[in-house]
Amino acid sequence: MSRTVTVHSLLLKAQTLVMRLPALACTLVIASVTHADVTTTDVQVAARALSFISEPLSGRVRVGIVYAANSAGSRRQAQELQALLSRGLRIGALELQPVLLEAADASSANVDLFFMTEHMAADTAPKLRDNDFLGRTLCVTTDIEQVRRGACVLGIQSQPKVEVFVNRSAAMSQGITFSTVFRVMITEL
Amino acid sequence: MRSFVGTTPAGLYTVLVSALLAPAIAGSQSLDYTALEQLFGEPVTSSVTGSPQRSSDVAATMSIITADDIRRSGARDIPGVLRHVVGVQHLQTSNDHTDVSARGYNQAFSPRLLVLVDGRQVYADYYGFTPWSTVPVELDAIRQIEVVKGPNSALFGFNAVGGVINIVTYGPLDEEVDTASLSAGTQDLKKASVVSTWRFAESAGIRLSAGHRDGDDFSTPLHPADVGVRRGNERNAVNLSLEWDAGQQRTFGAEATYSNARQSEQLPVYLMTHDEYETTSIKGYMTADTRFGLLEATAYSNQMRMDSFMSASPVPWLMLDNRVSVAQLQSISKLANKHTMRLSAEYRHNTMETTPVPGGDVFYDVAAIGGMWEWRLVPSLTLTTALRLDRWSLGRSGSVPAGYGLENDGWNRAESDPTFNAGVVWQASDVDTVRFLLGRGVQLPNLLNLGGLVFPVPPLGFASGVPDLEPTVVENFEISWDRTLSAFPAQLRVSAFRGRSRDMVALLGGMRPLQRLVNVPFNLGDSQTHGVEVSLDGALYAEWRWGLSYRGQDIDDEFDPGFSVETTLADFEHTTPRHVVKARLGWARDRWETDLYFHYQSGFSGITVGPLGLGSGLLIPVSSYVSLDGRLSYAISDRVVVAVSGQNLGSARQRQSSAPEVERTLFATFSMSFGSVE
Repeated sequence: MSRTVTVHSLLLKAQTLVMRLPALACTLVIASVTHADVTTTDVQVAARALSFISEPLSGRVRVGIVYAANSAGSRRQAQELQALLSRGLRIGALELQPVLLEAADASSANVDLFFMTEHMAADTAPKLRDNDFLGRTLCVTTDIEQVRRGACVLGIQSQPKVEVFVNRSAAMSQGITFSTVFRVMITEL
Repeated sequence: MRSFVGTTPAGLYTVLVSALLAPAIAGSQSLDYTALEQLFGEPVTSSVTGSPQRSSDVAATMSIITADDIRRSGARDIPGVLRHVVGVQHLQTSNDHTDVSARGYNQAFSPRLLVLVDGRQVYADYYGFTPWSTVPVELDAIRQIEVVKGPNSALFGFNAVGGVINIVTYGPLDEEVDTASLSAGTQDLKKASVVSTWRFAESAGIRLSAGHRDGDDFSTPLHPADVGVRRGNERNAVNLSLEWDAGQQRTFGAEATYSNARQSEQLPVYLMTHDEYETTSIKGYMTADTRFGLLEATAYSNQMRMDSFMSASPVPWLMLDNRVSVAQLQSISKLANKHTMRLSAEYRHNTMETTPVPGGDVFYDVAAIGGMWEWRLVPSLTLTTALRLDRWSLGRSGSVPAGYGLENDGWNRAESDPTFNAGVVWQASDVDTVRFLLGRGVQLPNLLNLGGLVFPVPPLGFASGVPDLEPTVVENFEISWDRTLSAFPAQLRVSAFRGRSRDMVALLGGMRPLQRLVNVPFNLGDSQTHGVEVSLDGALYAEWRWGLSYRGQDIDDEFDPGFSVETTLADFEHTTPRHVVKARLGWARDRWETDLYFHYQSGFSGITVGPLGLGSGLLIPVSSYVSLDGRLSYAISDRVVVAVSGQNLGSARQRQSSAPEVERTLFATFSMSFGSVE
């Protein structure tokens, strides 16, 4: 009897697992997509968030897309973002122009804004910060962990709802300030 | 008029001046709704906490009516827009007057709703109701209407006990609106409206809006005593607003308005009258983003005159002159990443001359301090707490009529009233938001009830207001659940509320023979309510949008024994419909748009003048009814639109309250934009 129950339980568990597989697969795909792909909406959110800086950018803005050469995911996202921006993306008062930057070369780049890709090794971003390559140039990313670590000032997320993250300490150290209206509506880390 | 400058505490100016002189550190500060809405992908509001918030984050049950909703409502006035909102009850008592309330308790001249235009109160402060025709704003100038249900006194002070309606117009600095429209229709309606914006060097903007409307009232049967009150309706309004970005994160603004209106309407004694209004207002404000946070200072002054005429009389029986001056100061700051604080101070002076016997002035001063603390405990859980303390001082000056049993000293009275709002907002999942809300609001007795009304009743004495009425305290508890349904897609909201109003005021029915006061207002007891609201709003393909809502509400009056509607005119238990269903369906493709609005209301009782005549009441049944509104429009070009709209389309005439029946209205509108809306 107990054996029957055990087999039956196993079957039930297997059935449950099978039923959940599509959902699990979807979850994994969605997680993968949301983590890896930068969408037009992400860029729009980022550009609009930039208008709440005390000295907002305007006109033609050179966006340095920072990637880690040793990370396939980082390189792929950089290329996607470059393709997205190279089609000529105008958002409000901004006209974004992409410049691909390997992390090692970023400190010498002449850009108005850094967009840091995901899949950067954990030790890469702090190294960038230590080198002070950012200077007073704002860094944006969709990888919120980089914002949490202070490697990037502004993090944006457009799914499932728009969320904006700012590392206040990093912003202050770079002398970047945001309007109070903006600050009370976002998450400061 | 008493100057608010001279009476505002000097300390406030010290803080203000210090703040404005302090080095500013952040970006442009007038609340740029467009930029914030585009950033977050949803409407933005500051009507709940005083601090800007996304609509999905607010600790309140709130509806935001967008400019698109307003246009597609087909309404010719603001009550026509509000009647489609779940939880909002309307009582249309004439062609140009509708009483609006949130969460029931609606009555003639409903005094429980606070109505603001860009933060400036526009309700008639001598009684607390809103004569909507006098609101000096054109529909095309409105960016959004924010409807907060339940008490919100901790932010707005007295009168925000049933709900708050904040009408937000397009900012002249941020948005360029240039439109003109002409309408004509049944009841000989003629309406014209224009909104125009001028920008100067990107740092200053001026907006002028003006409107005219005239027409006939309904021609449905009137009570014999009311014959003669339908003398034609008319409304004129003009609003001039300017805003200047002074740089260094400082913005200055000013607004001046004028309106007049004449219309028939039902008074709180359930008598139909012809009333003529005239209002003026002037307002100035400044904002500065400083190291102390966002500082805002606002001062305004309103004046409203109203002459009321009974039947065909050419002589007014009431002449009201009410002046309100308000000065407000607030600071919003974010502390330690998770905490947003709002500190506020307010001073207000409210005065009216006694009527119909002139010679006296009844007034009160209110000084208030308040604070709001929003604490984001974890990313998915936010606690919002707002506290406010109002100290109000009542007074009377001028003469008292012979034989009046009260002296001016009787008005020397001061009282402090605390109010609070608390809310927990829990983002339970990506698609679920749960809110737990608790509020305590205070409704001051209005100036008429506090002695502004001095009505001779020879030879017995006077019907009069009295200075010792207690404020009504409203407590409310509410739970709401929002869920995004991706399958339809649609947005579901379910909310349940329970409230109690203590020391409600009856307009009539008291008596003080020793003071020769034969009919006075008095506190007659408590009233409880509970109810539920369920709404679904969705879209289907690119063309369709739809909405369905139900509101069920019960009210239990617990008035002191011996008092009845016959003598007090107070009854909320039987005069609030228990069931209301609203539905809408809209379709748009290419140049066509069409929208239909369905409204069902279960039967209830209305109050009318009783057999003993003016001052007595009688409950009469009002049957359940269904009404239908609609709009059909065609865009001739990108700038020119023609539309046909109507209200109460299902019946040529229909009884919707104890007031005379309403009629079907139908009108055509030609509108043209001559600028661009970003």
